[in-house]
Amino acid sequence: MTWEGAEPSMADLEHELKHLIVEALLLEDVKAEEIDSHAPLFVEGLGLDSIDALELVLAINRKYGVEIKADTEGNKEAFRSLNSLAAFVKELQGNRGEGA
Amino acid sequence: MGRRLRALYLATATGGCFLFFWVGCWLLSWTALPLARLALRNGSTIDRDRLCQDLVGWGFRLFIAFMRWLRTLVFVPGKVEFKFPDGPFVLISNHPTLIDVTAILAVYPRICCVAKTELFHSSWVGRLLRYCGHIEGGSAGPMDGVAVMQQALKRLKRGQPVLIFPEGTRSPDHGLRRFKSGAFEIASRAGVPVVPVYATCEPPTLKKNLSWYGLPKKTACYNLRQLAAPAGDFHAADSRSAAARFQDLYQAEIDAGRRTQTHVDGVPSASTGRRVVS
Repeated sequence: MTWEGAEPSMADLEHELKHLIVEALLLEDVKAEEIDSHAPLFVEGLGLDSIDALELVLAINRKYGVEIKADTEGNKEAFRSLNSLAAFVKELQGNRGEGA
Repeated sequence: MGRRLRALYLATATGGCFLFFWVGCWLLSWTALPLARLALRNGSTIDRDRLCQDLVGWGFRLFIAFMRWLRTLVFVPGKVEFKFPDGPFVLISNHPTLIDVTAILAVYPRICCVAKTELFHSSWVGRLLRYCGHIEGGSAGPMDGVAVMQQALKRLKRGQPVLIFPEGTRSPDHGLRRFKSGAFEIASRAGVPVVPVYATCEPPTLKKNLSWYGLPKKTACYNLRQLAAPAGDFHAADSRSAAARFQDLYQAEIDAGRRTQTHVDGVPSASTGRRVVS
C-alpha cells in the first residue's frame, strides 16, 4: 500500500470515466461535465442500452486493463450510476493488484 | 392492375408471408426439430445444432420461394453464393430489413445468431431458437451485451460461426448506423476471421416499426453478396478501429450503390412496367 498516494482519487476516476463514456459511445449531445455521477446510466438518465453497455465495458477493459464478466458479482449494481461504476472499477483494479 | 389494387394485394400477400413464416416455424418446432434432436440424442451438441440448423435452412428456402411466388419479395439474382472459411468465423452484415437473418440462413444455415430473450420464450419460434443453438440476447439489461459476447465465444470455440449485426439494430434507409465494436472484439478474442456480407433491398421494406400501410407499392428486390474483407490483420488493431475499417467498407458499397441509382441486374419489378401480379 506504499503506492497508494500515486493512485487517482475517486473524483479523478469519475471524471475520467465520464470522458470515457462520451468518447466510447460518441455521445454527441452530452458533455462529460454534464453527466450526473448519481443519475442512472441505463434507460433513464443517460439512456444507454445493452449494446452501449458492451461498448463501455470494452472501453473500460482497454483503458484500465480490467475484465468485466457478465456473471461477476455485483456488476449489475455497478452499472447503475457513474458513481457506482467508478467504485467498481477501483475495486477490480485493487483485486488485480493483489493477484499480481 | 390498378395501383390501389396492387397495394391491397401486396399488403394481403405480405400478411400471408408472415403467417407462413410463424406457422412454419411452429410446425418445424414440433415435428422435424424434436425428431432430429431425438435421433442425435447421443451425438455432440454441434451435430445436433447443425442438423436442426439445416432443417430450418430448408424451411427458410421454402419461405423465400413462397415470397417469390407471391411476388412480395424476390432475390435478385436468384442464386446467392458465399465462399466462407471452413473453420468458425464471425459473419457481419448490415441490417436493412426484417428478413436479413432468414435470408442469410436460407443460403448458409449453419450459423448461430443472436435473438432477444423475449423470442426465446415465444411459443412460435422459442423452441426453434433453442434447438438450433442460437444466442439469447437478453432483454436490455446492462450486462446483456457482455453475456452475448461470452456466449458467442463459446460457439466459436465449439467450431460454430456466429452472425452479428455490428450496427446493433436495423440500418436506416440506404445508410448505416455506427458500427459497434462487439463483433470485432469477439472475432479478435476467438482468433477467427470476420466475414462481411452486404444486403440491399429495393425499395426498402420490412423496416423497423413496420406497418402494413408503409409497405412499398411494388415487389421488393433483395440482394445479398459477400464483400472482400479489408486487407491486413485486424486482430492486431483494437476492435474499435477494426469496427471503423469495416464500416468504411460498407459505406463505400452504399455510396457506390447511390451513384448507380441502386440498380440491380435483371429486375422484373413493377417499376419497369411489367406486371408483377398476374
